[in-house]
Amino acid sequence: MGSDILNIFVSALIVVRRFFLLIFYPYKTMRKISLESDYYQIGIILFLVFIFFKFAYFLRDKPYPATLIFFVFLTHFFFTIFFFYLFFGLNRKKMRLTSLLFTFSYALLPSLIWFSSTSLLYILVPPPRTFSLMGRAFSIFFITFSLAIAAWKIILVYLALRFSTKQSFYRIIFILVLYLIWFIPYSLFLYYLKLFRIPFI
Amino acid sequence: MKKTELKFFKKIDEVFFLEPNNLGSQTLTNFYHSMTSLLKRMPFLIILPLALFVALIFFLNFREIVVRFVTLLQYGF
Repeated sequence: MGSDILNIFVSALIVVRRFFLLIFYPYKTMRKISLESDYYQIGIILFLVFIFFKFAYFLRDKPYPATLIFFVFLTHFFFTIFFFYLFFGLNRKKMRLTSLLFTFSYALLPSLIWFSSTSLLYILVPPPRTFSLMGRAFSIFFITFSLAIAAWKIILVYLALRFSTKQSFYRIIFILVLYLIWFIPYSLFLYYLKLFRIPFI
Repeated sequence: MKKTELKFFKKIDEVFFLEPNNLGSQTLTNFYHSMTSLLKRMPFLIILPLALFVALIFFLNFREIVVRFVTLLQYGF
């Protein structure tokens, strides 16, 4: 029991450390993550996602239960991983499913940051935005922030696929296009059901 | 000497972990490698100014739409 708690604590420290390393050295860090085997780290990241959904529950109007939203998120998260694994893994017997699991778990960090900061800004600077100087300045700031996080997310997803599948640039772009072909309609479906306005992935 | 050897072989393993990307033409491949080398370390040094530049361009061209879009995004969580 004591050693389990110590392992979880050490894994949490590793997650925090890798979070900062993914900001400064994403390539080298993602390479090491793809070789990882400590499942506590995945548990910690998913726990952070669960905490966010619990927090967002109190801000939304007539929301679904946070646990349900979390299970929907887990469904499309694991579906995403299996999609890439089935596409690349059938031809390449040496590809590890755990490698995809670890790299995509860490690739959740930009999404977690964007969603958490957006929900905090919802409290601190509630919408709607006006056309005043402050409104326009905040709009520029928020767009810049969102674009930067989106670019970081794209880099991490690309690196996750590159290191887990060891495929070339063109194949990765091709599989991402195939992925978006079903993911975009699925996101619209989630929006229609009022589960996610922007899908958490 | 043994420690240096181990470090050397570890570095070789890291370098040859992946086959380098080949985009078909030498020009494209060189361009790809020059772009990705900027993003491998401290990517936010490139990303942040670029994101600010794009945001400003969008704002100068579509002022009202950008402000309304930000309102929508703020409800996005």
